[in-house]
Amino acid sequence: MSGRETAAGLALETLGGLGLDGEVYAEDGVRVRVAVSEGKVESVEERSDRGIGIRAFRDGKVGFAFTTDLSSGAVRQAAALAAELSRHGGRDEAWRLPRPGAADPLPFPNEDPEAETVPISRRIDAARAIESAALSFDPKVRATRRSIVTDYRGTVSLATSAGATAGYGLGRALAWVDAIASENGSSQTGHFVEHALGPGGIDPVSVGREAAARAVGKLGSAPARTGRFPVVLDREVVSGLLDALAPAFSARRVLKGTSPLAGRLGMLVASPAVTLADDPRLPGAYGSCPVDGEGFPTRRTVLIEGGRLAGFLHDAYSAAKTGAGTPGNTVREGCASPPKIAPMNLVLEPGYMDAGTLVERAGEGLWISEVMGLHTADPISGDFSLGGSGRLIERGRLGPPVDRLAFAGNLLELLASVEAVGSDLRLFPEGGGAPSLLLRELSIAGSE
Amino acid sequence: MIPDDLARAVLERLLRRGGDFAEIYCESLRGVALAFEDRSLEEASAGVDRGVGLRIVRNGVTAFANGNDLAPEALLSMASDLASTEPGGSARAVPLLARRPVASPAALGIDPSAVPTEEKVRALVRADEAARAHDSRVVQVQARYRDSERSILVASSEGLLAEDRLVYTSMSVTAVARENRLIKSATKSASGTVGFEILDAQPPERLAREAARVACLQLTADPAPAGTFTVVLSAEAGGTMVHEACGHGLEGDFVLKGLSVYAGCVGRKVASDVVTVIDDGMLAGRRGSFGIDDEGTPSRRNVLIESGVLRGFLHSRRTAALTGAEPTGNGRRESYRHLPIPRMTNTMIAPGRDDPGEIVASVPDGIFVTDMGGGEVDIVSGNFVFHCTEAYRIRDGRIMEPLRDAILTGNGPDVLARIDRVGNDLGFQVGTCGKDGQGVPVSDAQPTLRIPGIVVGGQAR
Repeated sequence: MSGRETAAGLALETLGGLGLDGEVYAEDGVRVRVAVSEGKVESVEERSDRGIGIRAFRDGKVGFAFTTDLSSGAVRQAAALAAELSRHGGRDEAWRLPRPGAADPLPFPNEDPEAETVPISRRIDAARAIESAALSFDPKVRATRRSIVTDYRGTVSLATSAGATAGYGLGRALAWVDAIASENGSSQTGHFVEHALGPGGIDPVSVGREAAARAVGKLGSAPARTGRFPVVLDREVVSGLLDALAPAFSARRVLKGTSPLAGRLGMLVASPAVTLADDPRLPGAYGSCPVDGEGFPTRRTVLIEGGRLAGFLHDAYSAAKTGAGTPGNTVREGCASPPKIAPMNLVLEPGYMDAGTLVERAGEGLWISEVMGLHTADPISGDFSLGGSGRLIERGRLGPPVDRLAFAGNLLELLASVEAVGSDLRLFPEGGGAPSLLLRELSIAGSE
Repeated sequence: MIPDDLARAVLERLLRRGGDFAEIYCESLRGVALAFEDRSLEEASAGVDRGVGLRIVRNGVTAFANGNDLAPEALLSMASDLASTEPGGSARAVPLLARRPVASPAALGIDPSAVPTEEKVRALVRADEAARAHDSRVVQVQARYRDSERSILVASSEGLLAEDRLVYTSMSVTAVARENRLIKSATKSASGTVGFEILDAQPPERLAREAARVACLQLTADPAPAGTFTVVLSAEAGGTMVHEACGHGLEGDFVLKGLSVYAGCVGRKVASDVVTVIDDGMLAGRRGSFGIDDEGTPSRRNVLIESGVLRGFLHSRRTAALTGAEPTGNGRRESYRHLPIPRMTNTMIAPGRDDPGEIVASVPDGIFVTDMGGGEVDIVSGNFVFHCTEAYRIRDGRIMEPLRDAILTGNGPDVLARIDRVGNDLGFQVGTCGKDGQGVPVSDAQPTLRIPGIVVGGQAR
């Protein structure tokens, strides 16, 4: 612990000696991961993750360097490297040392204080319980790939040469399993993941049963028909699509014209049923934190309100450049990369209809519960093309399962075609959450 | 990275309470990343990630820990802690470690760490200018350069000690084209286990012009049709299809317990006669190449499917032992923070005999794919998708209008059985493959292929 603080101090001192402003991000955490398969422990991992990321500011230019070797020689070298790289940066007066003010702590726990005392054996028991719940759900469930229980506890801190400091501790636990169901020589998989602040917060039986139910539900899937249908997107699919759209809200991208939302502030960009916000102070949400990746206090930012584009996400640079934004919307993906604009908890406000009502409203159509290929969506244009699976909707009820369906479109056009927003909001471990959506119409490809 | 005698002492410490296997994986990664956008160097970053991962296997249970301190006392104490996590038996001795000679497929010309940063930035400026000059509709350019040097050391209680060093150099260019309200983008990349000379073989200007051409093409392309078509995958499209349709399903961990659609099929017909699938980690300079895998097993060429018949799987040490196979050199890890799992290296469908032009000419109505983006597979059902970043309609055997946003979906064994024409050419594509939260560098390749009856997802009626 003290080693890390010394490392930050040493890095700032090195930069100061070169006449440069600096910012040091440090993280120090421990991750435990247990994997169980066929009732037997497959692996127990205890990972330590620590390191520092240094930004050097030189007269409108910035350079970044990181090290996971926190010996004083390595820290000095990293600081000197950041200073050297800052010479090459493009000059822009908006590149200035961030000067965040003090932040209020989160008014709710962001870690489970008991996680530290939970022995490895309890995590193993939980993983075993997940697997046996999956296997006993239905005789058609013949195996699981493995069940995993993993948790992280750590601290994050920021220090700048202007004397600003921020820090917080956080704890997160995840548990998941892939259940495999077979019938008539064909197999399907069901995946389910749950999150909590600590391993004690996870109900293993529900994780296993949900994964098993998903696998069994997909058995007997037939290829879909080609055509245009009303579609209900399951909340998990909606959450994935919103994550793909998230970069479009970056003010940096707007400045560079690489967002499909550039120049559309105040305009209708989605169905009036859509209200979307980043809410970093949402109790129980995975991405909650008191300060952002540059140390600025976090706050709720409304992005789309009643279908109209209401705001963008900012870092210190974009706020200074536009003179219009408030910084506080950056995240760190570890110590090895500089802060990046991204939502912490992107939440689509729920409506008043439950998922069953959305299906009823669809009449004849498709319920899409899983998609493949989301990582190929283009955040610059908003274009996507996906594979998927789900169930037919027949006379307002869920019908037989279908898979190997494919569809393409644009994320903004998809949000514009929303007929109704479900009330079934769920929070996901990617941060934030979403309810299910009813779409007017989607063009689906399948084999006839 | 650590002396031989220290490695042996750490291994003995790991086995001081018994165990079947112990291993030290030591890694040092040094890298530089430059991102040029909006006519300015937006990000210049560099760093060192150095650490060690220790594992003990006892009665089939793997215990793993990692740390960043490579000092002798720190390593020994980490080993002691890990050894005491389970009530154990009696200590085991470790034989004298023998250095295994490593035949490296890396093809390092100019070491990028000796190239001044200015020159790397120049390459990005050249890409930016070339993309903008190619077409006035190019409104933005993102050019990225990255080089890294990865040194690893593996020592095991079986007396193995091996070291490998790889240098990767990569560049990518994204061109953004706009016409009225319509925005499209396209990316072209070059990457390999090579040095700065990669920019001579694949100049920044060429990547930039290609990205600009495809982005502009998308502005006027028709939405892809939705339905079932005969698809011709051009060799230049690279091998995303083989990677998704069969590569993942042949990874040993998916074969355990019969999870993969290909499990239990060795010696059986799983593809059409014209299909031979090879994973080869020894191809000179390719992005998925290495001398030893992350468990010290020498890299090699593995024939997975030979003329349609399944020959074997890709294994790590663990999956090989559990299935009674030998390790194939595919135990890879993202870093010293992870356990190795079976992964692909450079995966390809081997070239066949047909003339690529004749393959296209044989199709009365279909889709011609010249660039594939990413993909994904569900290994249990075998269903996969891949995204086409450049595609055209084939009418009467001729390549006609461009199509945008096409996605192809199918079932692995079904699609492999449908491939009926295989070209005499071969094209590579580079990527980073994600599995179980670990990303590793790979390349994929294929010749021109004809596949009747693939589902194409698009927007057009």
